[in-house]
Amino acid sequence: MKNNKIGIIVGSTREGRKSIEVAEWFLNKAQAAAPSDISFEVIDLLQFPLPFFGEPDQFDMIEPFEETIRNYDAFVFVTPEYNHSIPGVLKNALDFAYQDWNNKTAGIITYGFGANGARAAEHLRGILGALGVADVKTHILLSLFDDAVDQKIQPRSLHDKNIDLMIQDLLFRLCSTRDK
Amino acid sequence: MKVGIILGSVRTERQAPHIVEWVLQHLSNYNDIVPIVLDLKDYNLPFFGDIENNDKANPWRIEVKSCDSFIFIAPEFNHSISGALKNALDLLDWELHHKPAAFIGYGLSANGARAIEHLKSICDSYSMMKVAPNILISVLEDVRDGVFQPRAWHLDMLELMIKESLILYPYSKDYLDFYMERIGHRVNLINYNKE
Repeated sequence: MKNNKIGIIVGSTREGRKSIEVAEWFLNKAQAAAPSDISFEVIDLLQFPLPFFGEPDQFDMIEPFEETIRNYDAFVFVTPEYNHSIPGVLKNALDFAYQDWNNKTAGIITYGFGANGARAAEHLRGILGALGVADVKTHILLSLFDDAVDQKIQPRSLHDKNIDLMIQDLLFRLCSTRDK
Repeated sequence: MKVGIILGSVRTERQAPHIVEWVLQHLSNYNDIVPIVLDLKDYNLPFFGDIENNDKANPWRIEVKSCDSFIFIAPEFNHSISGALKNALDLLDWELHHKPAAFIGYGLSANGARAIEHLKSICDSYSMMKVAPNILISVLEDVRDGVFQPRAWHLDMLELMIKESLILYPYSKDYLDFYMERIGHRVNLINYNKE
């Protein structure tokens, strides 16, 4: 482990997206729950206007993005479910930085109506497998019916336990890569 | 039946154009099929939710809407479809609904099988009528000296795939008529006239 930073990936860029609210909710909860030497930072895909994979890099963003990913040993993916899967923008970002995702660990937070992002998470787990990311068991599923009030994200307290579990899982995986 | 052949990759060194040629050649045997190639590379699409550039996707939406069924040609990137294809689909809604969809995947060892599984699940969210025979092309075995030379059984599958699409097409039309009659006013809210 190079440093004690966990990156929270904001997986959608839509105007009015909920992923940024979910990421901030997790950031605050996780910082309070984790040991003091572990820090959490938000990685917002909106700050990295990448081209579609294979196209010319119009804004010279590929390298800064890869460098950012290189800096973290663990991630928490926050993603909505679009049409039974993850957003195109997140899949596209995952296809970059191939080497930099390798042999790291990650947790998954999804949200949605009805399935609460379960199908998107299943797709994401397959993709993370291909990238050599060891995703942890604990998965937080937020309901946009039950975990939002007046269209603002306000998760029920039952998710707090899962935040603790996810941090535990991530730290366990991090320890096993810490000295390598 | 107007068949939209969707090329699911924008990479320069992609195999898809060679596969398209092969499909087009075969489709020319059918009098009742009008193929149209929809290459994502030609549309320069915005990312979904980029309100400022949303109208740039309208030519794509119009072309897709004009098709009666689809053949997806998708490479597998990291166990799934490309981000470019997922994004292109996220930009659509009723343009895809209830239409038959057939799938051609390609890859190195899984031959696109996992990408196609993801794509089928995504097509479910548009109530598309998925055709069962898939074509899974091996970039190792079906490409010789840089030339696409599919093994014989792929042609049988292609024929089955087209026949099933043709069988589903009238049902698809019935469904669409049924829905358009009832909620067409909602569907027509999509404003293409901003060009």
